[in-house]
Amino acid sequence: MNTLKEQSGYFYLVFAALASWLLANLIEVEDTGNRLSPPHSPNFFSSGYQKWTMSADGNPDNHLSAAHISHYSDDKTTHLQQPLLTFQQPDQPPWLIQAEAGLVSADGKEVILEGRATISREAYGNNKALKIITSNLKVKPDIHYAETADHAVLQSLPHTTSGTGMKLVFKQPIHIELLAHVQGKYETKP
Amino acid sequence: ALESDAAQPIAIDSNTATYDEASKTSTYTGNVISVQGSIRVNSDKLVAYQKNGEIDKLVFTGNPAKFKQTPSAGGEDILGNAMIGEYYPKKNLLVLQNQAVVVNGNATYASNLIEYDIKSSLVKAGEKSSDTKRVHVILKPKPKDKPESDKPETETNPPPTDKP
Repeated sequence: MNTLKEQSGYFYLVFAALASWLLANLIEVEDTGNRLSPPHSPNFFSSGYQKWTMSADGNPDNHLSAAHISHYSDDKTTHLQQPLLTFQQPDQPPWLIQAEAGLVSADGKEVILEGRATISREAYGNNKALKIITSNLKVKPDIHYAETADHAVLQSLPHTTSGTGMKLVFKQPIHIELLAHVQGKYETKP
Repeated sequence: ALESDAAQPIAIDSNTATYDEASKTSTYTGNVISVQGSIRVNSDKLVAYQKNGEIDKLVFTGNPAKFKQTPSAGGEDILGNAMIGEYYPKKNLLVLQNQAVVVNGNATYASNLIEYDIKSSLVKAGEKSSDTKRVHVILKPKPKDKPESDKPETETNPPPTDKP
């Protein structure tokens, strides 16, 4: 009778060992001991986000602000709500680039603005104010460069020029290229 | 030119364009069509120079570049072409250079330099000081009047004189 009891005891022990081994495999534990978050979910977020980037000589070069940001651990991107990029320029007003939403690439070298985006710079000296209205704009902050494949309207009022596809260098010498279907309109005073 | 031309905006269509703020120039390239009122220019390339925020000069090049203008409502178009053209909107002046030709009604002017006043449709061709800008003018004679015999009776008899 005893041997039957002993055998069933051994059976329970083996079962318990098997079950715990199985459970241990089910829950894969990260090195840091955190539980793995579900795919593409933010690992941190911030409201009223501000980031300054200085130039090599220690002066403020560009500033990114956003109403809200979320950083995603899987692809290391940072998603932005109402981003506003401000680029300081020596001896001229800053360039402002804003949009409804955007994301910063994993390496931080690109800011992709989604939907409608506007670029603007105030007048100074004998340079008129410039405003560009476009959409789906890719900005490369390090080299003060932006490009889009979408329609872009360049306003240097009262003159306007529009086209499909645009490349913009917004540091001296300022250079704007419209890639196709260009229409320029210049007002004249007799 | 039509009185309203000078006040009209200048519209430019092209394949591509670049704007360079340092030099205040916009360069339009590829099938460039520029229109101001009744003035129309077709060219391969056009550079718009701004001064104080206004268009100071437009330089167009083509092979050749062609221009057309309606001097007066319903009037016959004035046509021209040249390898290079410069248009000064404020002075209403169009300067055509390099194989320049202007056709104004039955007169055709050809030279390496033609200055055309857009407002008064006045053509000034060539240059006194240089032999290279000689002028070649063709004035087509007006179509000949019909021979006398074909004319109707009344036209040949002198008007009756009043008898005392």
